[in-house]
Amino acid sequence: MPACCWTFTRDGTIVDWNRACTEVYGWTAEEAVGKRMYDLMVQERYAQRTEELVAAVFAGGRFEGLEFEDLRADGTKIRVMASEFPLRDADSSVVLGACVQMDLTARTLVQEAREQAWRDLEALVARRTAELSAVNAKLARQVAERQRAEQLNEERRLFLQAVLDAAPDAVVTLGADRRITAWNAAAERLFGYRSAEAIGGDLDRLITDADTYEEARGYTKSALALQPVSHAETVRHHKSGSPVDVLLSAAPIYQEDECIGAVAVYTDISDIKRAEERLARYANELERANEEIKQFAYIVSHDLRAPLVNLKGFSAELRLAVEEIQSVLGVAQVHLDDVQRRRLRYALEEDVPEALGFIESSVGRMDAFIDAVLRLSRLGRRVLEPEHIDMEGLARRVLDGLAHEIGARDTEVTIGPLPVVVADRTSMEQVLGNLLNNAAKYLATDRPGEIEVWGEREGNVTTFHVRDNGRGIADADMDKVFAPFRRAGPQDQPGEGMGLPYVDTIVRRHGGRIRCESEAGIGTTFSFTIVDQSREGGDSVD
Amino acid sequence: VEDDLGHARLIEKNLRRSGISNQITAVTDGQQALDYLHGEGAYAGSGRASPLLVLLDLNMPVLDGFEVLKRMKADEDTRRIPVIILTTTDDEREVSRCYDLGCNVYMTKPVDYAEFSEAIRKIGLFLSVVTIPNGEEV
Repeated sequence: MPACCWTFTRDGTIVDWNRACTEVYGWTAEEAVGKRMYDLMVQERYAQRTEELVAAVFAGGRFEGLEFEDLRADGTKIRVMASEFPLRDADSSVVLGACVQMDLTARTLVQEAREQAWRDLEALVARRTAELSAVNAKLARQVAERQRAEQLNEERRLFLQAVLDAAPDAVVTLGADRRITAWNAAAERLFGYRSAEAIGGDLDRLITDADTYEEARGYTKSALALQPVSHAETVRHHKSGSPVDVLLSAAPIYQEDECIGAVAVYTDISDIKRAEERLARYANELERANEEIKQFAYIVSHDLRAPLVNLKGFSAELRLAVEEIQSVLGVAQVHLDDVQRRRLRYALEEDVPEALGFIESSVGRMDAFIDAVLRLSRLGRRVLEPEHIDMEGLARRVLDGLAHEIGARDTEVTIGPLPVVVADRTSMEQVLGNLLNNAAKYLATDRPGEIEVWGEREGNVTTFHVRDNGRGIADADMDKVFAPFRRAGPQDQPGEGMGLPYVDTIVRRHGGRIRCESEAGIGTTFSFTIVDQSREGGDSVD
Repeated sequence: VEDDLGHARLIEKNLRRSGISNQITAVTDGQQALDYLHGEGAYAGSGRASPLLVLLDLNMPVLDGFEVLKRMKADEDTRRIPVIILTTTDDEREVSRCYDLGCNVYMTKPVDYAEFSEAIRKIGLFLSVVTIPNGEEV
């Protein structure tokens, strides 16, 4: 509170009156200045004391701590404590008296207020202390909880880090600003950058080259725009610059409904790619080899047959020539002695026919082989024409055709239920024909024969069985069964050893497999599967 | 038209044995066949030949049978000459290709001698009943 100050003349007339005086006494400066103090605030009972005091001040006296009770403009009284002192001019003579005083009323009130405040404060302090200790206890609890939570968090963080580092795929996280925020161990391995090098970097720049940068950027943008990327096959670059084939999946990361970044997972498919390339190469080589084999089969059938035509043709010419010689020799023989005649007859009737016989039978066999090779090569080329085939009727017709072989021995034929299949008719005729023919051909001679054929269907796959109780196949010969030109057991039946290779080829072309179970002297069972062929669009299953 | 001399000889012997006495000219590749037909190359000066029938092998050096057939059928002077393909393969694609190109008969050279003679005899029979477009009879 600013001090109340005024000055006064020797007769007590007020000369200066400050704003604080106005506030304390209620008179403005205009009202107060020019008035005598005795007419304003000085009460009757202090008038004499005031006059003596004014006189004393003008005599050079200084006074402090003077207590008065003054009047205010509104008639109320205030207690004040005043200091009064003289104001001197340059030659030290007193010109004015000055009074500086404080409103004791206010002081008292302040004092009381202060005391009240103090009490309030003490109460407050007490309350606050209580509250504080409660808060403290709560805080302590919270701190403990937080510590526990932090510990859990830390454990969780370590766990997540362990999971990330254990992940076989490179896992990378980005902030919304595209900067890398996590880089797991697999990422370190796959791209060659340490996590410390990678974190904070621009993912799209770090693991791309000029060709893949835009694409990578597109994926990142997409993931951050809430469009996940799923198993995109692409190429990224190792720190060394070498390309890495990867499968990339990326998705936005949400926290409380807000996208705060993205996670990208890179699966290393270099091995798969290499395997794929290898496979493609093998397939290519296989195709070429197949083509070569077909070509070879054609050349074999054509170019090998040409000399055979000559061998067979000219051996026939020789035979004719020998006949010619013999007819002429009949007349000339009288000129020869016995030995000469015998030698001539031996040469013409034994040696030459024997030689020609071997040549011709060899040529015949060779021709049969060539035919067989040719048939096999054509089998792979023929376009299959799938249709519904009544396999039971087909088996019956095939067996009717074998009536002669079967009838020759006491043979019991059982045709079990045979499902209808969708397959190429000629192919099925060949398969059943071959298998049933083999069964009939190789029946044992020492017991009544049994031939049984049946089948069962499962989905679009039908399995057929052809069983006989014939001579069977020795274990040692089992691997020859489906090999071309290989024949097992006694060679007492005609054939080139190509029947089962045909059957195998046909079954494979129908998406099936054939296998053989056999026991020498007991019998043989061939089982093959046929996958129903699509009849739509002329699918040739080529 | 046959590059295998043995085959050519067998064909000729059996044609003769079947009673064919017409003049038979053997050439060993497709180019020679065309030269013979047009009186060119080695046959220059002998004039254009007009055989009653051409027996044509397919696999030959220089110019193969397909090419000879194609050119014969494209040429106004030769396209009416009957052509019998006599070859070792019976590959369906080759057979139909020859018929597409306009061959009259496609025969496979049989290794079996009896069949072979029979085939040649059939050609003889064929020739004996066929009336050639210019009115001559064989």
